[in-house]
Amino acid sequence: MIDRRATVAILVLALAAASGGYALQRRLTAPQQPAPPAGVKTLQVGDTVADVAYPALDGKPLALSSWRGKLVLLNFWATWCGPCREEMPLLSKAQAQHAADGLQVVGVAMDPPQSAQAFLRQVKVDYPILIGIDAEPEPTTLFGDTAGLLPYSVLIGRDGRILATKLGPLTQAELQGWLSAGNP
Amino acid sequence: MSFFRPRWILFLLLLTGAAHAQGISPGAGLLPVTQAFVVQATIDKPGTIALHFAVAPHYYLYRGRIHAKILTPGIAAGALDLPPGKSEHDPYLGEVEIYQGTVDGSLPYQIAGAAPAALQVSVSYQGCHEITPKICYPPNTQVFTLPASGGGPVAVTGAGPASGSDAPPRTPITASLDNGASNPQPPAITGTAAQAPASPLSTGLAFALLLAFAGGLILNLMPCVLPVLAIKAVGLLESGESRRQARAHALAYAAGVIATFLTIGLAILGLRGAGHAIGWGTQLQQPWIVAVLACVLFAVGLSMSGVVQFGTGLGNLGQNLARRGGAAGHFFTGVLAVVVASPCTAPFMGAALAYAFVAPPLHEILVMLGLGVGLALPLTVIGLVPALARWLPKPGRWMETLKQILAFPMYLSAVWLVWVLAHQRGADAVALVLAAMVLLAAALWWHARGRPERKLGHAFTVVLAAATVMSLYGITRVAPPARETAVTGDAVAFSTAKLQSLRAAGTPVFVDIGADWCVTCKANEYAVLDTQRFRDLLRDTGTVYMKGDWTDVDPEIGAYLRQFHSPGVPLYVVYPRGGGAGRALPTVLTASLVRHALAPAGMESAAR
Repeated sequence: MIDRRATVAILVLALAAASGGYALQRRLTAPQQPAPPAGVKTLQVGDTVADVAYPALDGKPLALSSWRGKLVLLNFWATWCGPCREEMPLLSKAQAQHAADGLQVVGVAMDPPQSAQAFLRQVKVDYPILIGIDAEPEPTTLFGDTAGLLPYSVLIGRDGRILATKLGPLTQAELQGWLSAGNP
Repeated sequence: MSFFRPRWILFLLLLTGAAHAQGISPGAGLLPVTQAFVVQATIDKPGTIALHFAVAPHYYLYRGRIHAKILTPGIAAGALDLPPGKSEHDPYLGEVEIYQGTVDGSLPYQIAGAAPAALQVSVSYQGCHEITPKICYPPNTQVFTLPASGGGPVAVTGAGPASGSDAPPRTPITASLDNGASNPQPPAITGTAAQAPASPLSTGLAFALLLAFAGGLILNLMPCVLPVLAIKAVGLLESGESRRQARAHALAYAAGVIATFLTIGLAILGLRGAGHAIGWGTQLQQPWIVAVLACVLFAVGLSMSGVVQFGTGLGNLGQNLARRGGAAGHFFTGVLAVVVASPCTAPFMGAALAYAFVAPPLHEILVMLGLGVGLALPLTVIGLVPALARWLPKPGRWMETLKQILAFPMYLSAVWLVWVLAHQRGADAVALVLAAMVLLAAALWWHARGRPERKLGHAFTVVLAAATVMSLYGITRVAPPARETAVTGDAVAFSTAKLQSLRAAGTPVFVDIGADWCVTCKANEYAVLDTQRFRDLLRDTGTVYMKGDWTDVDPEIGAYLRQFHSPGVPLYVVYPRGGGAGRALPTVLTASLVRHALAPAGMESAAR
């Protein structure tokens, strides 16, 4: 039969094992995106976006702060990215429908300006496109997409804080969710 | 009882089947770009660079976005030849061709004037993930350094004018591919003159043997040999019975250790002949080997606990020494000692192995024997020298208790291997290996309680054993999870391109290549690298901490290890500020050693 001392010892051991396992699990659970290069700041959900400016298609820099007070959906894309192109009509439609609610979709092309322009001549979108490819720090990294995977979308609230991010194309339902989250 | 048995078998088969079915479904994570698309470049015949693309399942490459360029001046590239891809309709771009699976392309080139020793080719590509999450990777460029003549590989050691002066200013550290399969020279890694370390062959045979012997001795003390020490301790105590027995046991153990090292030496020769990348501990990159080792340790632990008494067969590996006269048991203890010790690279052993991997065959075998003698020596001496043997305590009932206590380190070692497997293949593989352990325990238990005349009982043991093997086989079918999550905190994931750009910017870099199965790496992390002091040191010196994970097969990291002639992991390299040559640190780190290594790396800037 097990006496009381043995029971206590087993309980202590079990507790020690459980807390050890918990500590190990906490240390091993890593974020989905790889770590950014040292010295490069990346923005997380909840952070306030510092004022950054990227050149528009005409080459003139446009600051994100020019849309402060609106719900800004930053969409990183490239012409060589099929899922990005498939997503763009949905974003264009959302811009047309919800402009009155204060939504502003902003596309950031991770492409040379010529390629983006050639593509946009064929496919019209109802929102401004900025060129992010040569910007420093790299826009995708800055906004938390450290591997530069596309498409990547960031929802910036009216107060300039990041409300949500999404790697991969947005679905209609997700877009609705973002709109209601940004317009309480 | 017999009424239930068929049902049980059915149930167990269903269980393993279910686990198996789960095991082959791919994980939801995304692979790093160099694993999603593995590119290789070789020169099979002079005048043509062969490009090989291996695209992971559920990923695809755009044919039109593959470009290759020769960077070496004086070499003109022809048109890149790629086979037609699968045609897909894109609503905006029209027809686009994509590649899935493997693709072979070729790039012809012509050398104008004198042929340089090496040529550099940059290959860029771009592709996407075709299932949820549907994403595309940004264009990626890899640079390969190849021998221009297509003959033997270029061995650049020390100051290499061929690559040092002709190369473009930002010579990337590259994955180099060895096409001289049977050539005993090390795989060629060219780089700028400053970063190529000295050839391991400069070590010399006598010194290499000395290092091997010392490394083998120290291997006895390395953390991963804990279970081996447990086995040895039990063997030692049981051999305390008589002097003759002690001597026989010690010699059998030594023979086991040395024979295993000899086998490994011959296997390395064979693999080297076939042109495979080899390294110490790389066998643990194979999930099935990890799983089998975990089961072996678990079974040995069970026998030490007295839960099962091995009769024949499997028992040879274990501890039924007294009953079987011991010689075979001790021999296999020696074998097991080497197998379990393999994740460790003891100090000294690294240099000896680096020498062995490139030395002529006879010298290679001698170095492996030196390692074996070193590992086997302490126990053998105790067995052979009567004075020492007499000093050992008298056997008695306490021996049985000690043996049972030592079973627990065995179980913990099995836990460690399961943890390694979890990192390699995720939860599905863990479920399979745990199922295999349970089935193995059931098989051993059933076998131990069975009576020899019961044929049906034996058949059931066989069924259980088969189910164990099936579970282990299932592990080979589990897809690896995304390894992007491996790097945490303030570390940067290892990539040669990233390293090159950091060095071009003059940033000091601390490169740490490790693996989950490498206990030395874990010990260093615990003692030095994962401490606040180290993080402060990085911050104060402005050093970037770059971490590579070799838990799974990774050609990019393999090439980097070869560049430093490192036979395995850990490998720690410090690059000073201002883009100087990288310097490899010893495999066992201390806080002061790292501080001394990093201090000059950061100080140089202060002087500038």
